[in-house]
Amino acid sequence: MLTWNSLVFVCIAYASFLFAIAFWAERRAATGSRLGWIRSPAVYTLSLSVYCTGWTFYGAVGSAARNGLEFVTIYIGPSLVFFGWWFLLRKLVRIGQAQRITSIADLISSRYGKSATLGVIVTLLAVVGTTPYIALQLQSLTLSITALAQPSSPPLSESGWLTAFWLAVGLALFAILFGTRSIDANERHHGVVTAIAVEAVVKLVALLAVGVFVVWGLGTGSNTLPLTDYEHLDKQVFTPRWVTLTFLSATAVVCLPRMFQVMVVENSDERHLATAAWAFPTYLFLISLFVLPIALAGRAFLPDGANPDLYVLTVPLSQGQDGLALLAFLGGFSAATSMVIVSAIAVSTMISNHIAVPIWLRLNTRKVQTSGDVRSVVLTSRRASIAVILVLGYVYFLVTGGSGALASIGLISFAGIAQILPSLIGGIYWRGATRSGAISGIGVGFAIWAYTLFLPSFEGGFVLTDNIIENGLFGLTVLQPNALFGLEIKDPLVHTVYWSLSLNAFVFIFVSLMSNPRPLEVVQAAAFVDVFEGGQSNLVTGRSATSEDLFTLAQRILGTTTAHALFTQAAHAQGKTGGLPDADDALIVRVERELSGSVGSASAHAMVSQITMGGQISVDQLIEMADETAQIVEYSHRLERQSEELEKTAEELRKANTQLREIGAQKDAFLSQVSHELRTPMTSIRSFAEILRASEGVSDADAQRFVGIIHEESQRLTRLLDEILDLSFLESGRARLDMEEVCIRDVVKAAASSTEGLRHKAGLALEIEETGLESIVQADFDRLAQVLINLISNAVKYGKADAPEVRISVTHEGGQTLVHVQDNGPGISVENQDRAFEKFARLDEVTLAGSAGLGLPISREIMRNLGGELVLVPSDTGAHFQLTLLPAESV
Amino acid sequence: MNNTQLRQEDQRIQRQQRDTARALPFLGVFLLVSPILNTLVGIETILGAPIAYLYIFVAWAFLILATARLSARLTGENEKDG
Repeated sequence: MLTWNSLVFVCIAYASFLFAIAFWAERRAATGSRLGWIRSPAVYTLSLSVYCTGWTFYGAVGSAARNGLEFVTIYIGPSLVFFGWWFLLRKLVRIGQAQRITSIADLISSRYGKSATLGVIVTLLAVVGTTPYIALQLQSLTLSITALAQPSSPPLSESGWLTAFWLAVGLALFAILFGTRSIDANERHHGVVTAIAVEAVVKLVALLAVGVFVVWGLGTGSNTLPLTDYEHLDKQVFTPRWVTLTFLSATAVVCLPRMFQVMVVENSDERHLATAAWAFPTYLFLISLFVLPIALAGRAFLPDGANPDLYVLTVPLSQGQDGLALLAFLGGFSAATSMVIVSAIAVSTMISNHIAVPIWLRLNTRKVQTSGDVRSVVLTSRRASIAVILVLGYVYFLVTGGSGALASIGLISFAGIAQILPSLIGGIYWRGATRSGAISGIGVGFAIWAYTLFLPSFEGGFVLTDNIIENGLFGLTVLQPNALFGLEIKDPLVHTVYWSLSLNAFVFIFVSLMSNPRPLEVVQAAAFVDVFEGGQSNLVTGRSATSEDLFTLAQRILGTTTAHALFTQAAHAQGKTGGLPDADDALIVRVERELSGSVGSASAHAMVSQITMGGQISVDQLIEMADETAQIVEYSHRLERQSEELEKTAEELRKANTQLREIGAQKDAFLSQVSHELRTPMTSIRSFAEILRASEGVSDADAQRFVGIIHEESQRLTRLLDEILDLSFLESGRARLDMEEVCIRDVVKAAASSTEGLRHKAGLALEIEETGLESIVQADFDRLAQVLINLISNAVKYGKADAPEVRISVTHEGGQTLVHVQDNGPGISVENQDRAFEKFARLDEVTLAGSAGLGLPISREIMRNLGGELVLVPSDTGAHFQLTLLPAESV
Repeated sequence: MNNTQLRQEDQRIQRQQRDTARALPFLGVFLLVSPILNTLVGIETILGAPIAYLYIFVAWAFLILATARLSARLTGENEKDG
């Protein structure tokens, strides 16, 4: 048996461990840019498990023992919401980041025109809903400690109260220490989140360990737990209560202050949500997997009077598994403490931003404003709020402790906080939702909830007397709290949820339709509903302020360092090198948003409005920026842009088409040229062949001459065909090249000797300049020689001059070797230079022999295949060709 | 297929995935908050577990797997609309 002292020791050791973890995470966040796994999706998912409180940890098994499968709904509801993350949660997180939302109250307030009233209402709702819940955690902690250490003593004795007191103190300390370090929503509470994540693992491991022990560890025969004794299996599963509970828990996961805190406010990366979408339901799945077996085991192994809510502890205890029981206790301890800490932080943020700061502002309008003064007010009020919330929870625990009233408070809490839902959903999907609608809807829902469920839960002990509960207000049976309007629904929870939420939604919609939104509401509505379409409107509100005032204000809330950084950055963005930025609309909007992250949108708006002039939004601007009209205009703009793009594409297509047609025409011309070129030798071959065949009178000498001509012509034909083939190979890049290191002198020499006969006949002189002739280049020797030969023959053919001359010289330029081939002929006129490299282009029809003009195109293709280029350089004296060659070492 | 067709095909797939993501919770409601559950009550068991219990957890696991697959795909693409 575990002793009281050892248990206290374990508790303190575990708590110190959590403090250490939180401290370590804060240190890492403060010192380093590298947060590593602290910011991972896994930690985000685990921190969401703050949903599973001590009430669910212990109570789920109790519920399974008392009501059968019903407990699953508490986990199915949130799972369904996460399955639909793309639809709802993603939008919430995006809005939360765009608007620097600090809490669920801030979200509602900000959406409905930064309304201070709504902020207060939701804050009160949260406090009323959270306080009993915290009391419930204290109770579950105390009960579990008592059950473990002093099973004989009656629960909730003096020592129990003392335990609860010290627990409350410890929790408040933790929340204050790690929850109120900074006031900005974007400076996340890494310490708290990390500690919560660790606790989440402990919870899960504890429950799984007990589950595995119960299913497989209880020895022979017990792996089939006695289902026959379990009367709930025959009960209907799908009932109004089933639907209501699923719906309520689905609502709770969005609306509960602590869930909103970890899900939206502490979210550092929207993509983490994609992981949580399946990982969090998996967590819930595992948490609930063994609940039923544990309940069955409790009923089988424990006496009839045992409290089912403590089966998780008492089953291992009854089997002598003290270690396992201790683990289970730590699981429950984790569940309860994490809930209290996060709830306290979330609700204290609301209280400070929506109640404390506005009051302080009203009281201090005329006082001297010093740097950081608002910041310290916010921090102090948050710390005080945490203490107050825990005191409230403790008092609530003392007053109602041990009564049955507390056991059902979890669901009552859910139903209360669910009243936010219509305004929340309406707010982010419906532009027409107004502040008046939200206030009326939440008000009506809250009133019905309090009247039919919350107050009656005190069983006549608070506000509502027994008589009223029994007979209705003023004795009117129509107003009977458990049968409103005479509608008798047996289950009070179903009854309340049905009436409160349906009337809430109805009033919300009706009043919204009947009322006109104020300008700021319209702006915020657009920013919320169209958050994915860049709905963050840069609204020109026409406000004006001085930079100095804005800076002072920012300093008061953010502190000097942060404010300085913010304004320096803004000045840079405006293109200034130093000093304060201009106080334009963008800066005012930005400052207001930054402040929202610290004190909530309503307070930030009020503060900025104090120092700004104007601020009236004109109707025109509204229509321009935020209305549906604007959306339509925007849409038509988008269409215009699209059609412009289409036109551009069409223009490009037209161009491509023209090019294709030109290429087609070139091909046709080429073909007709080829056939023409081929026909000339063919005709002469054919005619000489006919003469030889037909006439006997041809002398032997003539015959010999004719055969010679036929032979020559067919050789020309073959050469022509070879050239065409060669060109097509070169153009398609399929030509075989033997790249090697080649000395230019050798190539020039080879070209000179093979054109010697030709040159001699035309009387053309070849001048070779010695400079650079020894250069080594990377090329195919034969091909390069072919190019030079072509160019020389070209000069022979076209370079008609009195003393024809070809000059070959070598220069270097930018690592490349250039070979120049110049003649002193008439040159190529400017208009012909483009055509020089076309196939079969014989320029100006001044030709010696009737050669097909393939020499230049082939030469150019060869040079390109060698990695170089052949160009015609503009020149005054004759044609000047320039060959670019790769230097030897570059390959 | 040319680029435009590919892009259209891409967009179609993305739209399909987003719509599936939106429809998934409704499938969840249909499976888990539905009168089907009432046809499964009773003490008959499969592998030692009551049928209704088994059904709920199997459906639940299925939904988790479906969401995991979808969200992996959805995060791979550019997010644009809601």
